[in-house]
Parts: sequence; C-alpha cells; structure tokens
Amino acid sequence: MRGWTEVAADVLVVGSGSAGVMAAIRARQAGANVLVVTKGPWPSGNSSKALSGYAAAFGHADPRDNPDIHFGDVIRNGIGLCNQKLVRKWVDEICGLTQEMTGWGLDLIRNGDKFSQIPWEGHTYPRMVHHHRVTGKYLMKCLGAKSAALDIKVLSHTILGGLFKRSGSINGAWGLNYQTGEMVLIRCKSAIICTGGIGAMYPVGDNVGAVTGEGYASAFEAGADMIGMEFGHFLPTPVFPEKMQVKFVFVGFVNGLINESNGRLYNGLGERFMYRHYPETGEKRRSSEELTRRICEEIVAGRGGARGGIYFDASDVPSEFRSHERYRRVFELADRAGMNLKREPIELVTYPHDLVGGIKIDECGRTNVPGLFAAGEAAGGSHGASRFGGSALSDCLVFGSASGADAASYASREKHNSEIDAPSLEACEEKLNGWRHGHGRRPREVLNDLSELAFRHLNAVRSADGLNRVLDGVAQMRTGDLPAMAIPDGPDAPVHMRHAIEAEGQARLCELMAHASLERRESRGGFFGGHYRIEFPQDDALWLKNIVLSNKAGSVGISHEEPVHIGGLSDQVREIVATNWRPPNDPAHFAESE
Amino acid sequence: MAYSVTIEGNRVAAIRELPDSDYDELGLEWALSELKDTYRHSKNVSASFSLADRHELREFLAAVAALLGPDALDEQAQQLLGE
Repeated sequence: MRGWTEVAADVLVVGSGSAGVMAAIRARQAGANVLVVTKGPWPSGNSSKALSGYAAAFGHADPRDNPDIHFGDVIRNGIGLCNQKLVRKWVDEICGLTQEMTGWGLDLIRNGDKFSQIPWEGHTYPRMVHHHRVTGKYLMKCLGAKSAALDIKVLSHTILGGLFKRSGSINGAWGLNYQTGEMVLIRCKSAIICTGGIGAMYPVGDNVGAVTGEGYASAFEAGADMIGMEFGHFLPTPVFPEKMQVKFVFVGFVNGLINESNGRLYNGLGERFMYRHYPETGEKRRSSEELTRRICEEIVAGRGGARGGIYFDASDVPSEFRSHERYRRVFELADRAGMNLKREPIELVTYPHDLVGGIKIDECGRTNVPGLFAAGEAAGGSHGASRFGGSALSDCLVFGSASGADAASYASREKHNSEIDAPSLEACEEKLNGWRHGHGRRPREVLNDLSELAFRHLNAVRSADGLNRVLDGVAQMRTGDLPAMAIPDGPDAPVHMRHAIEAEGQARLCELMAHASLERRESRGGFFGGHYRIEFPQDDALWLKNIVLSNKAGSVGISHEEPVHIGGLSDQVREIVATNWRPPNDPAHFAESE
Repeated sequence: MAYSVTIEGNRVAAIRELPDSDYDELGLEWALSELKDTYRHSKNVSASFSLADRHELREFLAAVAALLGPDALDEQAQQLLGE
C-alpha cells in the first residue's frame, strides 16, 4: 500500500509492560515470529512503577501459606465476581513462574535460600516477594534482558490504531509511529492486547503518561467482549499545589496523618464532612477506600474547594512528624512546592489507580474473537469487583505467559488469510484523510474534553445523571468533534495524529465504562476498589453477576453473566472467602500504601 | 526537554536528553523517592531516573550529591549542578 510500511509476524503483541514483555517472550520461546508494538520505548508502561512486590504463595515467611489460601484471598477481595478459573491458574502458576524468572536473573530479596515475603493488606499471610521498594524496576530489567536475548522485533513509539479481521479472525493491525509519521500495516496470525489501564486519561493520577486506554477500544471494535468495566480502584491525590501532583500513591500519607496525628478533611464549605457519615470518629479509622468514596461524593455533589477538590489540613500535625520516617516525605514535598502545611491545606481529588475489569478472557488469555488475546490490566475477569495489592504484577505475568504461549500455538495451527480486508482498510484511510483535511478542533482539545468528562462523571462515585452526560457527550462527539478533528501540517503532525487516535479510543472507552456503570444498579466494593452509585448506595445480592458488553454492529450490547465458579473448594478456602477481611486497628496501619 | 540520569554503583554514569515521547512523566518526586528508598535498603544505587526538565535535573543531582557524596557526580553532572 502506498505510503504504508508493511510488516508481518506470527504474533503481534501490543504493549510493553510486564504482561506484554512476558507474552512476547513466551510466544518467541514457542517458536513464533513475534512483533511488539509499543507506544513508549521498549520496555515501558506502569509495571516498572510497582513498588513493594507481588503476591506469590511460597509460604517462605509463614509455612501455613499456599496457593489455596491465596486463591481464597483473591476470591474474597473480588466480592463475589471473580472468574475462579482465572484465579486458580493465576495463584497456581505464579510461584513456578517466579522461580523461572529468578533463573533469568530476577533479583528478589532473599533470606538464605528462601524469598523474603512481606505482609500486605488483604493477604492472610506475608506473601509479597519483592526487591524492597523498587520491585517493578528490577522485574522489568530482568524481562527486558531476557527478551533482548530472544530477537523479538519491536516497533517503539508506535500507537495501535486498530485491528483487522478476515472471516471473523484477527489477521492484522495498523499503527502510527508518532515520532516519524510512518504508517504501519501489520499482517499477523494472532494479536495480544497488553496496553494497560486508563490512568492517563484523567487529569491527575499515578499512571505513566502513555497509559491512555485505547487498547480496550481497539479490542471492542474488533468484536471482543468486555467485562467489569464499571469497577475501578480510585484514590485521592493532590491537585494543589501543582508541584505536589506526584506519581506515587499519596493516600497513605493522608490516612496516616489523620490516624497517627491530627490531619483533618474539610470540604469547600469548610465542613468536616466525614462527621456527617461517622458522627463519632469523623475521618479517623477509615480505610483508604472509604476516604476515597466520601471525598469523591463531596466533589460530585459540588461541595469541593477552589479547584473542585477536598482540603487536607495538616496545620495541627506536630512538628516532630516532619522527621517521622513515614511522613518526612510529605513535608519535603510541601517544602519544595513552597507550601507551609501549618498555614495552607493540600487540595485532593480522586483518580483511578487501576481499572479492575477489561477485555474478557479465558485462562489462556483468549477473547471471544478468534486470534485475539489479552493480558494484564487490559484484560478483565480475574479480579472481580476489586483488585488488592500484590495482584497487578502477578496477574500480568501469569496471563502474559499464558496468552503468549497460546497465541503462538494458535498462529501455528490455524489456517490464515493474510489478505487485509479491503473495505476495512479503505475505511481506515478515509478516517485518517478526514483528520488530515479536517476543519474542526485540535485532537488535544478533544482529549482534554474527554479527560474532564471522565474526571467529573467516571470517578469513584457515579450518578445516573453524570453517566448519561458521558453517553450524551460521546454521542455528540461522534457526529461532531471526532470525525472533524484537524491535524495541522508540520513536524508535529504525527503527534497530533496520535492524539486523534487516542481521542477516538477514549471516547469509546468512556462509553463502555458509562454503560456498565449505568447498568449496575448497586454499589459493590470493599477495601481495594469497586463501583459506587449515588442512587444505589448498598450492595445487592441480585447483582452478584458480571456485566458483559458486546459490540453489536458498533453499538454497545449489554448482558449479564453468572461468575465462573469452580467446585471442590476446601473447607479452609471456603472459610477464608466467607470471612470479611478487616484491616488491623493499629494507627500505623493507615499509613501503609503502595 | 526531559532528561534521563543513569546511576551505576552509586555514581552518575550518564545524563542524556530524553525526547518527550520517551518521558514517562514520573518526574523529580518519583525519582527522589526511588533514589532514597533504594539507597536506604541496599546502599547501592544502580538505576535510571527520568526528570521533566533542567530545573528538575539540577535538583535531582543536588540530592544525589547530598545522599551519595560529591564524588557521585561526574564532570558533566558537576557542571550542570553549577549552572
């Protein structure tokens, strides 16, 4: 095709975090010709930010631990909606995979011949394998070195634009190198979506900048079902001062200073709003999930401060906390931001740490579209309604591995037609040309609108009114802003084109999240995320089912599915699942966070 | 322009400009946390850190010198710090 660079591979992997790199390694080890397309450099993504490790039930810190107990913990924290087949595979395989990676050079902290395993919220026993507070970096260093030895081809700085199908099966994709402007047409026999979550769609938050969520949209456009798109793990973070808009999880500082000292929360009206909900204790002894939910409720109700957020007042925190090991960092941050915490409050808003649901997969990472796979945060089902700490990397690794192996097997055994479907390609070119000659708004402006829409109405607490605004807003964009986006000529044209692709994907993503949230007429959450509707503040046993979104000729079809259960659970596992997990009542506990 | 600082064995080994497309947006505060955490736990810093701009780069290098000692900075780093 004129103006396009054509490449071919057996297996296309999209994304280069831990799930993507592991998928590429496994597919290559299985003999497949592998091509990775990644929006950032190789490797990149959120995985290197994972601090304190991941859960693997070796039982090295406590011999009572084993994968059965880990299974029970995951099921309990998923609040009734986990796909238990996925969880079983995940907890059973992560230990072996960890051992294998140590053979590749993964440097985890050890005590003699055993792994150091530290406790974490939601886990019955100490289970986190780690490299102190830089585990993700060491993991990605190991996976990067392993993949480099395997001759895996990589197209970096390339955004996935869409997937192609022939006779219902994936047979290609297109992308844009936004540094050079090169358009790439990829022929492949299978594809694995490992594009991570949604964090960078929002104005503030802890995700790296490239994680803008269009992988969900590409899979959905290709016909993949989505599951649990209403569930997210949101947390509060500073919006002001701007210099405190940090990329690490901040809630531990807030909750810790509330419980160990005299930190307080106020809304924009100067009200200690937490006393409205908890007359005796106010903001003390609340989980980060409860704080998040109440903070977001105030924001959604319009009772926020100057920037719409909630004030965290540390003016009465004694000065000795400035040198306290757990809190020194927040005072340093404030000092560098030029803020005197004795006189000024920090303004907080809520943001998504992760999206809990995603592209619906089976235990091999297969979607309902032949040849299309997904892994990592982009995939859904394993975490149910809420994802607890220590689950992100382990899930990415296991399902990255499973999808890579199965995608390679699929590519070798199935018959393939490598001819890209002409009408699909023409539609793609027509869209791109429309943007090149568009007279509408700049894609960055449309992205900003979507970001604001998501921040206002797809945050931790949602209302029918807000969700309908999202759907109306996206519908208007589809007939207005999106097709008319204008790519100006000049050296930055490829970057504008990247933004246009992101805007189109994010519009679909907002629509998917809004549909799923509107459909779930209950609130379901625990300590590690969930779904909260103002109109339906309680959970409802009738909603112990998953919401699945399907592409019905471009529209969003909604169905309900019973969670996948497996039989034969031991009494011990049943007991864990039935027990409500409660955080310890130690004030220091509230400072813990990833 | 963003920057990447690579530290090997508690010494600055390389400072390079980072295209915006390669900048992960983690910035100074993330880099400082990681630097201090790593040093606190292992006393050996060998990693790369990304900074948003020259101002952040200088602040980071000052923190490196304060934590790891002035010998941690190579000539280029010392020049940047002195600007």
